[in-house]
Amino acid sequence: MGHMEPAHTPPGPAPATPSAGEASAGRTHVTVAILLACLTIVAFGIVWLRAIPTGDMLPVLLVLALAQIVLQTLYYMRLRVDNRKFAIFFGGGVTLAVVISVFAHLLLLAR
Amino acid sequence: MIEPSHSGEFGAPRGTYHEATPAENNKLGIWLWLASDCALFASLIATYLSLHGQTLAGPGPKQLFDLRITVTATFVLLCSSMTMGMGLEAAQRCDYRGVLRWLIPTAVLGLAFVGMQVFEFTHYVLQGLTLQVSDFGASFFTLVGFHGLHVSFGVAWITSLLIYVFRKKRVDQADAWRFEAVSLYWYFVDVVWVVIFTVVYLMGKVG
Amino acid sequence: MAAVTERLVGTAPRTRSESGVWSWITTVDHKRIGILYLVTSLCFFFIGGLEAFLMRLQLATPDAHVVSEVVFNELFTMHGLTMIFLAIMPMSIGFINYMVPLQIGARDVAFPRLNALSYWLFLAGGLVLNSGWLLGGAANAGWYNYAPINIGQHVINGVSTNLNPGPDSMGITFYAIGLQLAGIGTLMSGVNFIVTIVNMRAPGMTPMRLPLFVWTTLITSVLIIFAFPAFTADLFLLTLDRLFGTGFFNVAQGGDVLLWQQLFWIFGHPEVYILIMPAFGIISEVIPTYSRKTIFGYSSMVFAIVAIAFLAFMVWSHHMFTVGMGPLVNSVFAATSMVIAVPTGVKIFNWIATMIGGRIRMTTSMLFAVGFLVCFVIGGMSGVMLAVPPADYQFNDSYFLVAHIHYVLIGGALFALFAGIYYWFPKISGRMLDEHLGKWSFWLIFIGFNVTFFPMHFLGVEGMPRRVASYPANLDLRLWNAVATFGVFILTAGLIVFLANLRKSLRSGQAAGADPWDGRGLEWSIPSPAPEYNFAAVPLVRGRDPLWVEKTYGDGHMIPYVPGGAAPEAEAGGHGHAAAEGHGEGGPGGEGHGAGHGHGIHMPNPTPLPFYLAIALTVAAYGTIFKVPEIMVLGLLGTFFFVFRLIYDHDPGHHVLPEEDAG
Ligand code: HEM
Ligand SMILES: [Cu+2]
Repeated sequence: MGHMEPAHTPPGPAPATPSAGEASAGRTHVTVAILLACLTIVAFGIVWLRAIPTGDMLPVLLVLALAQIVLQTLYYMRLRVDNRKFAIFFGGGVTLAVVISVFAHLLLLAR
Repeated sequence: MIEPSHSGEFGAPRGTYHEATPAENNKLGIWLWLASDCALFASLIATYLSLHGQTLAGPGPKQLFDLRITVTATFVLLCSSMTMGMGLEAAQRCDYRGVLRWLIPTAVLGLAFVGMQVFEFTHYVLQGLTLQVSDFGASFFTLVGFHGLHVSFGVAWITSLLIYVFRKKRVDQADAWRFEAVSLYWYFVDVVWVVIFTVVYLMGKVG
Repeated sequence: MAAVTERLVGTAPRTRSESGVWSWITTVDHKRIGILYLVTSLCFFFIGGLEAFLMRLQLATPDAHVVSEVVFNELFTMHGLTMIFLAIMPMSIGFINYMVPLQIGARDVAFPRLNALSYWLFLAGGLVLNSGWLLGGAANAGWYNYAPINIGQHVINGVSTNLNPGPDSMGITFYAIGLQLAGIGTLMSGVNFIVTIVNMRAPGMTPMRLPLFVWTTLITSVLIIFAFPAFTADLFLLTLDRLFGTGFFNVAQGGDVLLWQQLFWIFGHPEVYILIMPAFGIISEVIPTYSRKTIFGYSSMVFAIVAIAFLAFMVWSHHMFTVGMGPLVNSVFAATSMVIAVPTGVKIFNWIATMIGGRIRMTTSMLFAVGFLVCFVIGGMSGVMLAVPPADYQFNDSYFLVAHIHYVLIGGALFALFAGIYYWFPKISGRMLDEHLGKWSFWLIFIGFNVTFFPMHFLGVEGMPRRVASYPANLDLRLWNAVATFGVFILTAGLIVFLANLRKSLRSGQAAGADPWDGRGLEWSIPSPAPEYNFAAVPLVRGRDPLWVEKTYGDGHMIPYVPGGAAPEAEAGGHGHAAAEGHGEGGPGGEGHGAGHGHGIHMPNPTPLPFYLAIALTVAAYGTIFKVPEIMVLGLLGTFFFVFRLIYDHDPGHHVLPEEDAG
């Protein structure tokens, strides 16, 4: 993938010692899963219990969703450690898509 | 004639040249596909947001949605993401038993999610929400159903991969990208669900 | 060692003579797929041209009855769709397919099988769309297919009315499904080209050395993968509306007719740049070659391409000024639209500056490139005029708009593609096109085009609306309409001369040799037509315009790349196999850096799977169109069967010995 890479490290997974790699990778997965679960419960709880004023609900929920998305893409989908190209194309594309659809939505509502 | 240019444009390349392997190409390809799929979902979500107020004679989101079902489904999908991660690690260790141990539950959880969605949809239809009755119905079923189709395709993909390794009775390093590809897809479907859960269900309940 | 130091330009003929229909159906070679695209798009181009011809006959005189109103609606709709989706875009994709791997020094695209699938889906989509003519009516609501005409049945004040005058407007269903098929194919092409360009460049081919055609391909592909999904979604909603009774675009069910327009133009404006970008790329190849100068302002060209692509996503509502979005929204979109003219202007000036001081050869290809400059500037100026909202209230839906789109699409995209044909035909076929006939064809096409379309500016300002089947005699529109139709005859004559030229060249054209134009890029460093494996040895790129660099500083031949300076024998020994094995979708393998010692170059095998997959999906498409669930399900099951076959099919590939080493 890289084009001219000064010092090339072979791509792809190569955990040095299987057992150690397994344990640490497994731990990340579980930690992220627990965090995601907590965020989901908080979001659900806010709505279910009507914990905060309705007016504040929207931004809070969006922030919680954003946090989950960031966790999943960075850790589960490994954008944090993987090749930068993926992050560029994916992040750029998603941003573009979101901006355009929000704008289109506003135009449709504005009428 | 051409001059060796100011920015050092002329000259032999430095460093070593790494030719992309097919596996690397596949992975970039998957990422591009997912990015493009995001734009597709963004279009459908914008459609839903623009039309969901049109409940007309049919029921609306507030009275209809039962968050308890949805939140359960969310947890099911979340668990499947975790097992998928474990399965991927196993595949990268070429651990055949580990792959079976983690990927079979992933597929089952995915199937459970689809089952719950089918149950949910039937429930709504019985309450009078159909594709035709209102544009809330149309845009809701289209968006959420489209996501459900994605999950179903994911289940089919995982199953096919299981059959593939089951036939070989082993997992090779050369197959690692297959697992990475399916896991990326699966996580992506999960990410989309987070958005749908928030935008359609939670916000629908808030009104 | 000897083979490595051997130079790359050879006379390697085709190592395997493949012919016959089956070899074309199963091919995964980017060059053959490129040829398939080019030939198919040329066929569709003539179908679209025929439709245009009929329309102009109808409009030549007032109150004419050459075709009925119903057919006229189908004609202008199918003409637009055919030209945009089935002629210009695939012709660009054809050149991209053939040339981009050659220009970056690769042996194929990243996903050869996906590439074949893209082609078959494009063909299937084109055929499904056109089959409407025979199976109950072709699409008839304009290429942009506005709601609510596109849903036909509509409830107005409680009365069910059919807003579409066509025979049951069955054609719209063909539109929805046919374009969906072709669109999926295009999306896959987009992904394929990006991965190819990002991952598979030859050593030394750094981003800022990429030929500009490769840059425009990359950016076009990005436009494709982010713009097409909006259309996919739109078509999906339309399909649901028409077949399952949802009401996304039906106000009676709470729908919104502007939803279709928004999604359509979010796709639609980037789409017009998808059409013109590869044309920019071709012009950027042609002008330097025939001016014997490197392109002027390379970096600003790259910057302009990226800027145009970015802005292309920000202007879509300039197509909707008149729907009443209000002065604020209109002003914003007017501003962004006008800003696009800036990077476009940068490109125009760079092309002109490239020619200044160059040693210009006025070949046919160069003539088309200069014709492009003239006509595209006119089209761009009318574009900026349209981008002024108050003015657009006058121009919108008039013949002025028709003049604009034809100046940018024919004078722009098509002229560039013709420049590309005259430029690259020798590389693709191994034979030269006749320059004499070529110049005749250029002048006839150029004059015919301007005589046809320039008067349309006047017609538009005089108030003639587009998409009307006729006009009354007392409106004073006779003269310019007659002139326009007269121009079509000149244009047609030019096209016939072009066809004659093709025929002549294929039969008895002069042999081209590797480098007939004294070219600058890698594609001219290999024999014509390019051998199956493209490059006998991976070339080392030492600068922008790699071949020209070697002509200037080297001995005029590309230097083969020697991995890391290591002994080539060691490289050829163990490399490649392990990495290339076991991947369903493997490109040509890596071995053969040093011209394949002993075991040759690894190439993918032909396979009919992509073709079968496209057939299965076409069956599903017809099942959907005619509402036969059994057939639809059958087709979809078949589709998934072949999808998984493709994913898990192991392609061992085969090895080809480059000619130099074979002996
Ligand atoms: C300076 C750059 C350009 C500007 C400012 C511009 C502006 C516009 C505007 C404002 C319209 C809408 C007019 C109306 O509907 O009333 C339009 C239509 C159109 N433009 Fe352009 N344009 C530009 C370049 C291009 C290029 C490069 C292409 C394609 C190669 C293109 C293709 C089209 C097409 C196909 C339509 C007609 C769509 C329809 O059927 O309604 N334009 N342009
Ligand atoms: Cu536009």
